[in-house]
Amino acid sequence: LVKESLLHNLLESTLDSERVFPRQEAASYAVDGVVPQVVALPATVEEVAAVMCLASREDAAVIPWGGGTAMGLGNTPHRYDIALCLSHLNQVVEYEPADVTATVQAGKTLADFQRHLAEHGQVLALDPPLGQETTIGGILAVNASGPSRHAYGTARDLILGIRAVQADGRIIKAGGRVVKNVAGYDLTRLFIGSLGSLGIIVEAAFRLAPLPRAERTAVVFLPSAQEAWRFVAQTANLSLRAVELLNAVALRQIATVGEAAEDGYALVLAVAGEPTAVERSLKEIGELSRRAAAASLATVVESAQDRLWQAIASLARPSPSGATLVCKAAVLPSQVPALSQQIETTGRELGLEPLVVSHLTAGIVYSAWPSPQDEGVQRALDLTTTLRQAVAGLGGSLVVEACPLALKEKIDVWGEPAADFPLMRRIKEQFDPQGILNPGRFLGRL
Amino acid sequence: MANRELVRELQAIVGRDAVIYAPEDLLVYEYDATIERGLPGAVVLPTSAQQVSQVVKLAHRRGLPVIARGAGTGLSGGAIPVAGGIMVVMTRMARILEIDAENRLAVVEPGLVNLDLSTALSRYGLCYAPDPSSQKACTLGGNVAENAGGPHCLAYGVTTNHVLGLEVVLADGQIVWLGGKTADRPGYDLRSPVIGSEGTLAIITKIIVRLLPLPEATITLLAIFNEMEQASQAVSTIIGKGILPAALEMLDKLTMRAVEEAVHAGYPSDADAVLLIEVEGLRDSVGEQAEAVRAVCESTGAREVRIGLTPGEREALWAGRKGALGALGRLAPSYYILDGTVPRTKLPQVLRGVYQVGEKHGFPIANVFHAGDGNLHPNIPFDESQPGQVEKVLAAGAEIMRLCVDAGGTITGEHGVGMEKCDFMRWIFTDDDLEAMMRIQVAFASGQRFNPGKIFPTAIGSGEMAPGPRAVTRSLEPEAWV
Repeated sequence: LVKESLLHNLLESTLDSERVFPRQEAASYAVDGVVPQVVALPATVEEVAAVMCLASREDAAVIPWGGGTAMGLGNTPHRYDIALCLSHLNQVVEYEPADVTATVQAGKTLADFQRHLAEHGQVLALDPPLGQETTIGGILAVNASGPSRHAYGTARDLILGIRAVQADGRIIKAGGRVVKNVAGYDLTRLFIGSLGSLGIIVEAAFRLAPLPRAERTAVVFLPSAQEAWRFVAQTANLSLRAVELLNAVALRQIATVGEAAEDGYALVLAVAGEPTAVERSLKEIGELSRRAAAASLATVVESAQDRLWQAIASLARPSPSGATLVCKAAVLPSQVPALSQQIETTGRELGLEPLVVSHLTAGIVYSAWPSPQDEGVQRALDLTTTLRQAVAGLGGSLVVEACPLALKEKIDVWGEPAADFPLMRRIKEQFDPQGILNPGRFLGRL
Repeated sequence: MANRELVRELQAIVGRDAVIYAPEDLLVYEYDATIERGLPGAVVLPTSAQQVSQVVKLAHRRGLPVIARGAGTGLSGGAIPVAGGIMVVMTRMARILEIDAENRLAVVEPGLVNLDLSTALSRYGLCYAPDPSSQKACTLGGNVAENAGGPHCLAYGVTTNHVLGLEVVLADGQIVWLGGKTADRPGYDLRSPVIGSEGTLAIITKIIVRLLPLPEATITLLAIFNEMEQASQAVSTIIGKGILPAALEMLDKLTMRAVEEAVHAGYPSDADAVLLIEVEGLRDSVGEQAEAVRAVCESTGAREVRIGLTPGEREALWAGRKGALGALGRLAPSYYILDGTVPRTKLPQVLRGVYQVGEKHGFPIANVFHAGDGNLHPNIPFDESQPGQVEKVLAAGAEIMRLCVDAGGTITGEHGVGMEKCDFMRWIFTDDDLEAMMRIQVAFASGQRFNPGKIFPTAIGSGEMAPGPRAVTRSLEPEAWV
């Protein structure tokens, strides 16, 4: 094991001493209760490389840290010596609005980046939870997405290239800055969603999108998730940016619009694009709701839209008290109604009221369950098992995104590894042979 | 040629009629759409993933490489055997296994022809977006292997954005799924590195593709410019204004002249460039978008903008673009088709450079390309039989690639690295970058087993393949286009 003071001293000789903190000041960088020996805040890509060189030489385990919004995701780390905080890498490296592409450092917050792009009428079409705090690097590490994925896909659809620091400190680049590029293996997309376990992304180039010229939000209240799916099936051609399905609990939480039937669902639609396309789409949504059984329709005041969508994007975040179980299921879109139903039924049986919110057309269903801390881990475990079985039966996957710590000792939060896992293990061994990057936190405790 | 024992073993796996080994029959499989040549030892035409797996295992036992091939329309030598071996031709695995219209996905076999999928989908009101120019012939397996693009990738993205999952045979013969029908699968995204790996990591046996609804309305515009600079300016202005057309293609003067002789598409022979622009979407808004595009073209100096509203009118405007490469093929016995991408704002500068390179080396250069993506296809007609011409054309090609790289671009936008551009890889990647890529090949344990001699410069990796002078050149079929 690395001597704590030694590591601190070594880091101080690599970085400015103001950017190195000892364990006593590292409590806020704990992951699953494990506090690192030292916190490093490099200010340049070269300094990130220097820290990794040192970590590799000293066999010190490193956890990269962005906005810290998703640090509860993943299994409990096997070991944790250095918190590598990227918040000082917050520059826009290159932005040519006429190319509609931009290159940005990993520590920049999404909100900062968006403000910069909005000055030129452009946007990075990603709206993950907690956009104010979350960083570009963090978004890529967990492949975070939000309601906009309906129209724009995920980071893998918007990325053009990355620079990354490898476990041994060598800096590499993959992809490039142009919108079409097939030179060499696609490391870029492999690194996205790898939870910093293959290398540390320090810079990323994206294709951007023009800000839509008009946007309106419609909320359709429907008696069941099944009705919502039938409704959405008729909107294929409309100009929609987002299609979110909220159960009554979720709707109550954002509570800025209308009234939902006790056990009904709200379909929240972002209609965006050219003004004429928005107008026509809204009209058609109106007609569809008149035809749909027992539906009612509300249109959100324009000035309240942004806040509403931020709230929806962050709905399934664990409560600050940490007393929540949050599960993310991925199934076929057509299976979302059945799964939502099953979640509600399971809730009723246990006397719980889960919050359910779905990126409907992507087949992503989040459920958040109240889970009082004084209760043992058993109920969370039973719940997870029940949901996993339901989702497995549908051929999908279920990730426990937040849970009581004790549950992490009993399950792999990512689920059971599949037949492709040996290949994943070999990839990990190739990129991080010492196992110093986020050890233990990824699928199969890689 | 393969020895008798090998042939017998292959026949036992795939059947007697599915093994080709006579030298004269093998000649059909020694080339793709490039001038490269390389004979496989034997060719098999499997009908199932299990057969592919057994062939891979047999090849491994015998120390022979395996080269996967689709329709052989590739433009970088990706399907050319560099060191003999067993070629696995996927054309008998060409079924559509499932169309799930509700969830907008389809499961297909790799030998399925790209256009056949979209044709089958049209009755569901759906389409598969990537439309490589060879889509009447090229296979989806080949598209995935090369991460193929096409004119409509401007709005919808390239192959990698439309593949959800792959069933593959690994180098040890194991059949495994990478990705699948549902989104955000936990673990590493192994599907992405296989897409565009040019047959070097795994052999694809099934593909799950994402489908899109057909647009409600489409309008095609043809804008004619007296000067190339004006056309380039129009491209940057359209993109920069936040208009995202479905396609934005450019043809230059030499191309137009050839097209007029061959296709009679109605292009003026004295104009310097035309832009072919397509906008798609709701009936209510495409008109406005088309109007905005027309305004930009006129403000940047277009002397005429033609508009196609009906399928017939649109087809007529596209005819020249689609016939361009075939028409250029009539200019000279051989052809060198280049493929590079630059930032869109650098198009005017790079295009100027491209013509200068042509003048310097004494070649005419015809440009017909995906302007909206900044994806250039300079074409150099030449005569292969003239001594020294191949070397000269290669030198010109290398200079043009260099221009793309110096402008912040890349050495291939959609055709792949293949055999042609291995040595250019060092222009954009360091040894460390290339080594990181090699780690993937090591993890897949596919190094000398699958399609050796591709993508990587010779000093990286195995090092033993050193193909001689090469050129992506061949006389073209009338149907060919980039």
